[in-house]
This record gives sequence, structure tokens and C-alpha cells, in this order.
Amino acid sequence: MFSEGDLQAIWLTLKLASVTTILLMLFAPPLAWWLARSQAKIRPLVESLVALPLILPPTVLGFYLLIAFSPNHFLGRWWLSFNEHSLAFSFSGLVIASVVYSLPFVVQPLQSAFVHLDKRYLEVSATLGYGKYERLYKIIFPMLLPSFIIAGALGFAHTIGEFGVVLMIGGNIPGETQVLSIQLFDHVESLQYSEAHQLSFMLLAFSVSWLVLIYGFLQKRQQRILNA
Amino acid sequence: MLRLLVSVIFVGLSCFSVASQATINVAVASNFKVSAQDIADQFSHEYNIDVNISSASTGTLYQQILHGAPFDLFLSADQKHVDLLLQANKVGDNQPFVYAQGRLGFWMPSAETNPSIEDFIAYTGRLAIANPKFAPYGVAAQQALTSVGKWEDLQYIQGSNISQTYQFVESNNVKAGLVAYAALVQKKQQHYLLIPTKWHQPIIQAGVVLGTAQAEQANLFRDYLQSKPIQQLIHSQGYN
Repeated sequence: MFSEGDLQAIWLTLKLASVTTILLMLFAPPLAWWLARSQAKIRPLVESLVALPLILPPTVLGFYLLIAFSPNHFLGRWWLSFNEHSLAFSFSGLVIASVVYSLPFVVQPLQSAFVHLDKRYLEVSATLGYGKYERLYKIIFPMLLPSFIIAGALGFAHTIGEFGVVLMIGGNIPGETQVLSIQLFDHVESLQYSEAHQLSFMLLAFSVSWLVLIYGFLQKRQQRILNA
Repeated sequence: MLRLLVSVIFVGLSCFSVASQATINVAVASNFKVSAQDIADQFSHEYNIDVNISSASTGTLYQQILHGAPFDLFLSADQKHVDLLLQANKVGDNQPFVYAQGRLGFWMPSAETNPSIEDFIAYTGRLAIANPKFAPYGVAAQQALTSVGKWEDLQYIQGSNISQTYQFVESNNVKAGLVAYAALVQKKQQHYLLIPTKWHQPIIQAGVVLGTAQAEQANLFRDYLQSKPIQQLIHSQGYN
């Protein structure tokens, strides 16, 4: 049903979303924890920077990334000192863009979970003699597991739906930067409507089921809490 | 009270859009945007008709027109999309016209002099081009590379239109590209080779009036575009 190019784009998109989600799940939780607990004066600034991709047009991000990736600037120069090609038009470049772009979708659910975490649990666990890391693994993580899952699922879904940034820094290279949304754009622009319909419908079906899964999960959890 | 409020809002909004003179909406392929704006400014001055320019890739504009976008005139970067509108009965009995012929430039900003034809043929690595699946300048780029027998030899960074291709090279993220010669002329760039026209099908940039209520004003702009002084201006900006 799908052409080879479409299948390649589907695989690449899944790969991009997975790598991005894994990276985000590694460093978003400490950041969210800091945002939830810190009284530092720069916290509002950091919080704003994290939320920025929610309101900033992807074109702004794409435009600046393309400049940052170029050999005329520090990041691009540094990258080229041990790589043959620019970060632009590469899978690695897309990962960087996606991490920035999906950051608020992962940080914000975690941050809100951390804010609402009852301090007493931490105090009780401290009286039980749990150390810092034990508290993290034995109390915080199991209690907030649903929030972690939702944060990851939203980050993944948002990366799948990324378009504007990739259009600006991707360069449309099959197997490297030609993700689903770009492939779909190509089909539409080259008037291949039946191919465009197939991909669009698949993305729509995926997005609906993915969201129903997340919200269904949330609802179950809510019922459990209400029944408890 | 609500009704009063609504009418106040509407009257208020309409103050911003008081049309003291006629306005036409022109859809322009992105490669011709800057020239079109210049020409439109002169036209407005002479004819007292405002011209709103909307630019995007030819394919995008075509889709929008097909689905009823309120444009009075379409300036495409090729002939194909104009013909498609003709076939879809979107242009009434208006005839397509040619307003410019595009040229390709092989641009290598890091070169020390203008690259020669031999330099172009010997070029290896990554090359920025417009998407040959749908962008007119991309189609020509593929034909040119094929006719010198190097289409299979390079890796391509594809812009969704020729302006984006230009930006990829301009930002130094890719060493060289096949871009619109007009953009190189207008931006006063250096170190490029004008690609011989015999290497690709001509990039005929056609337009058509779309048969809206403003067709009369749109016709005036069409004639203005084809007038001798304006054709000379277009020529001086890097078109044939």
C-alpha cells in the first residue's frame, strides 16, 4: 500500500521521535524538578525559555538553527571540527531541533506533577531513613509514574507531528531528514493526492488513537484516585 | 445591546480597510516576489490601483487557487501549473501569458573566482537544489545535471522552493547550489556560473488572470507586466 519512500519516511519518523523522547526523558525530569522546587531568581526566565516553543513560530526556531548550524558560527564550527557535514540537513540536527521543540510537552506535565507532590511523603520517607536517591526510586518515581508516561507520550507524539522546523533545516534527504510530514508535503505539492490521502489518514488515525490511549489512561487513574 | 456592540465592532473594523481605490490580489511564485513588488509599486503609483502580493511556492499557490483563494492574478514559476488551472476551468476565458524566463546559476560563495563550466562539471559532494519533484527550478536543475551526466554523482539538499535553496547556500550550510540567477543578480552575489540554457528546458514563467470581479484591473496589471519598459526591468533583474 505504501511506497518504499513512504515506508522509509515512516521508519525515520519513528526513529526520530524515539531518540528525541529518550533524550528528553533523561534530562527533562531534573529540569522539571528544579523548576518545581527552586526559588532562584532566574527560574521565571528558565521557565519561559522552556515554554517558548509553545508560542514561537517553528519558522523562528528553524531560521535561527540554520544560522547556528552554519560554519560561520560557534556551534556549527565546533560540530564541523569532528564531522564532515554541517548539522543542518542531518538526522543529528533534526534531533537537536526536536528536543528543543518538544521540550515543553515533556517538562510541563512533570513540573506540574512535582509541584503537586505532597511534601509529607518525602518527609515520612526521610524519617524512614531513605536517602536522596532511595526516595527518588522508591517514592517519587512509582507515585508519579503516570505523569512520566504522559510526558513521554506527549513528547513522542509532538515530535511525530513536527513540520515547520524540519522543512526549514531538513533539506528533504530520503532516509536522513525526509520525515513523514515532509513526505506528505511533497506528495501534496507534486499533486500526488492519493499518496497524500494515505499518509494523511494514517497520521490522523495514529494521532487519534495515541491521544485516546493517553487520555483513557488519565481517566482510569483519576477514577482510581477518586475510588481510593 | 449585543447587536449594538457587534455593529460597533464591525464599523470599527471596516475603518481600517476603507478602500479609497481598487485593490487586486496577486499570487506570485516566490522567486519573482521581489521583482513583482517593485513592479507593483510602480503600477500602483501610475494607475491608482493597490496591489497585494502573496508569495509562496508555485505548487502551494496553485492548491490555494484551486480551492478558491481570492486571487485576481497568478504569476507562476512555470507553465504547467497555469495550464492545470486552465484545465480545471479556474481561469474563465483568460489566456495564459509569459512574463519572464528564469535562468539557473551555479553558486559557490567560497570559490575564489567565478566557477567555470569545468569547475561545475568537476564539482563533488553536496549540492543544494529546489525539489525536482515539483519546483520548476528544481526540474531544470535535474535536467541540467542529467545533461552533463552528473545527476547520479551528487548528494542533494532539497529546498521546497528556489528561495529556500538560496538560503541553504547563503547560510553556508551547503557549499554550493543551483539557484535562481535572478536572486544572485538582485542580491549582488559573487562567484557563480550562469548555467547554459541548452542544458535544460526553458524555465518559462507564465501567468494568468483568474476571471474574478477585479479582472479588469488585473488585466491592466498583466498588460503593464508585458510592457516594454517593465520587460526591460525584468530582464535587468536576471531573467531572459
